[in-house]
Amino acid sequence: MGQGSDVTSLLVAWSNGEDAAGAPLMDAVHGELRRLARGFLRRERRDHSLPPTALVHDAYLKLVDQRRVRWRSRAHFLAVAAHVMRRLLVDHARARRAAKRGADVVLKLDGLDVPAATRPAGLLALDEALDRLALLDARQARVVELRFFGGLTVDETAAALEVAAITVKRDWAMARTWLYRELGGTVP
Amino acid sequence: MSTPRQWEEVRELFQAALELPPEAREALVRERTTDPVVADEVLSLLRVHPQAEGFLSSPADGGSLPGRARLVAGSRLGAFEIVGLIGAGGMGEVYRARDTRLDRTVAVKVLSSSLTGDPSGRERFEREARLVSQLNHPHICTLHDVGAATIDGDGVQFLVMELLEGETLAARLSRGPIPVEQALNHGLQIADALASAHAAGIVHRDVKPANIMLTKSGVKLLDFGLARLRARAGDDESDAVSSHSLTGHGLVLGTIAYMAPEQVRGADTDARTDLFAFGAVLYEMLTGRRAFSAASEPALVAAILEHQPPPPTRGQPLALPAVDHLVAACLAKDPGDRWQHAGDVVHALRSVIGQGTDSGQPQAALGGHGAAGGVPVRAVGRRWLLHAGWASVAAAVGLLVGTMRPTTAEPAAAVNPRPVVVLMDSPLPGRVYDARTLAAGGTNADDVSDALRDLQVLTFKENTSPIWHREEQVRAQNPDLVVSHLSCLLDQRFAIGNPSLYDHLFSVAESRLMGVFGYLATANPRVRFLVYSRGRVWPTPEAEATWTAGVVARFPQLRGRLFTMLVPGGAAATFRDPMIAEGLRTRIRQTLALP
Repeated sequence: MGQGSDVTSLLVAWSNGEDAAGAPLMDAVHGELRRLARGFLRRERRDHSLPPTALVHDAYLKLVDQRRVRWRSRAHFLAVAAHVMRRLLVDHARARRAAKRGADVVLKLDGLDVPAATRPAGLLALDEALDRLALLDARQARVVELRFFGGLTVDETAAALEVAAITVKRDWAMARTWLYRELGGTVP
Repeated sequence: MSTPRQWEEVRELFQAALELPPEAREALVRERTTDPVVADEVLSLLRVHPQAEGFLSSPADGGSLPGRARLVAGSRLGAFEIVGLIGAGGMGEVYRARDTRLDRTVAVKVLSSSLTGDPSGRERFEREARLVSQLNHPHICTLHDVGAATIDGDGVQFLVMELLEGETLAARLSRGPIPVEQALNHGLQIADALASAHAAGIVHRDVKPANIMLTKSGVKLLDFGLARLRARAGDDESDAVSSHSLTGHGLVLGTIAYMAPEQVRGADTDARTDLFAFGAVLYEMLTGRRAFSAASEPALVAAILEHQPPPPTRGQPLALPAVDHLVAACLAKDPGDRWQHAGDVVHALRSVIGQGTDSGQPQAALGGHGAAGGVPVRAVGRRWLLHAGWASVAAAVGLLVGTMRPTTAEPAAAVNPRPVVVLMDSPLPGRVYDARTLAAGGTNADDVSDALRDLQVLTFKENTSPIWHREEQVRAQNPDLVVSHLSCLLDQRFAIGNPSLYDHLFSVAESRLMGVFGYLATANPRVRFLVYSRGRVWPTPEAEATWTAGVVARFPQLRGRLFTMLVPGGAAATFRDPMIAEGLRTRIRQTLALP
């Protein structure tokens, strides 16, 4: 429980505006998500999909003492985890592309139902497109990161970004459209 | 690309356009911007938008539909382990799931209705589902199983179906018409699927592009019998659908657009109802245009009941004239004048496709008499015709449409035997300045529409958004009466500690609303207006009269047409209170001189 309470303290501090807690929090989440992902991959056969969003929520349950945090802190945690998950998945896709071991697919994104993103190239393209979107509209890019990589609901996303749910919905609709077009308008 | 300022404009315009029906969007964009870069960007995004609908998993509003179960990956429904959300729609949510017994991947559709505490409803549902699950056809999405479960205390039903990969015909059609030969081949597969289902005694009742998947192995018809399953599942089907029908969004126009006349009238439906919808789908595949379209629900219903669309060959000159005949025979208003059997459509399509390949005699088979399969066969009362009661959707629309029936070839707007009541939200400035009030969502418009359910009127609900106030939308509804409230959230959100701000916001809201009324009154000399408020605006009957006089002085066209209603009970008053609801009904009956 030692680690769990540690992360909880970091999260509470960070939610209360202590920016210094952000980096260690990110590290802790990163470590746990990696561990969860590996464990999952060892247990499962390769045709089974790994929904990253489930890992993000799993990490929360494992790391955070829920009696000590409020709902908004949960959203903040998930936001951090979503960002970490994005990095993990992108790194993984890069490694896969470098290794060219397509048959050895271990990490799939089927749970997200984006055929384009199930392939490393698709995921990397999405990542790059998201960076371009962030230059135009940072909040829309964040919404996509939270919803897509973190599996946050509209309400959780709204809480994490501290905006209205309707804003999240509108941003989400537009960002999706923009990205869809940016990625060639077709989902292979 | 665009500059930050242009992006701001792009974003605002795009989001405003999405609130309008698709056909009105381009005009809005052209009207609202002079910057060609912005206009091109918005139009380009709008074109892509329908395809992007399912992109990156859940749709825009999937996360916040009220009363809907949200399943996360890893959770289980019986033997089915949820893997992820595929999409969500009016009927419920569809998940990718793993069948742990058979170790296969399936699609699980969780229906949004509740079956709690009604064992007989559940039995009926399962009986119907069993019938549908016996359908075994290459172009029908197989229903494997049905079940019921409890999620977060809510009873839900779920359907387990074959998992399909591909895009819906609706998504494909958003990119334009389908080449003739391919369209006819898709049509053939759909008709064949219908023939097989009809022979088994099952009618689809909701054939539309969104229910048709284009997969590698051909067309797949989805949700067979689901409309009926839902209708049979017991409880509030008509409520569920009517609340959809009242949203005033493209969703409903999209659903009604393929309905047969008997369906929109709420009359009995049978297999021939599917053939009408099939004709509308084939029409759209060929031409890229809907057979029936209109800017408002009443106009669309009128079009379905009254209008003949131009022949498909006018929109698709490459199609043979025989196709015109084939489609027209699907779209006949009277079921007795249609093809009577999907098998006949199959034969006719085969014959047309055959002609297409040997293009020697383009007009022979269907135009003339006596050619095999060429003429719709009148054979009412075949054994397989199912004279079901009200189909779910038809029932709801029937409520709305009432006794509307085809008369003569009058223009659409003139065919409103029931008064049209449009419910508007007050254009609260709170919504302009603080998006959070929008997030708070529910206004009392839902309660008001419930309160009006028993009146002999057609009710529509218009949401007023901060950026686009839908005057045109309301005008197109051709209303007899517009009902709106004036201020209530304002009290709670802004008045505290700052009366002058409250006064300012209130006067903005009031001016905006009266401006809308003035515009509508000028455009439509028949329409009247009923404004209700919860006391703050009119603390006394005298204040009510003074207020009305003041408004009429500013907008003379409202003289004698603007009515007010003071809702008793203060800020806590609700139209769920039967007394208040009856008060409103009485006012509306008086205003419209209803019996």
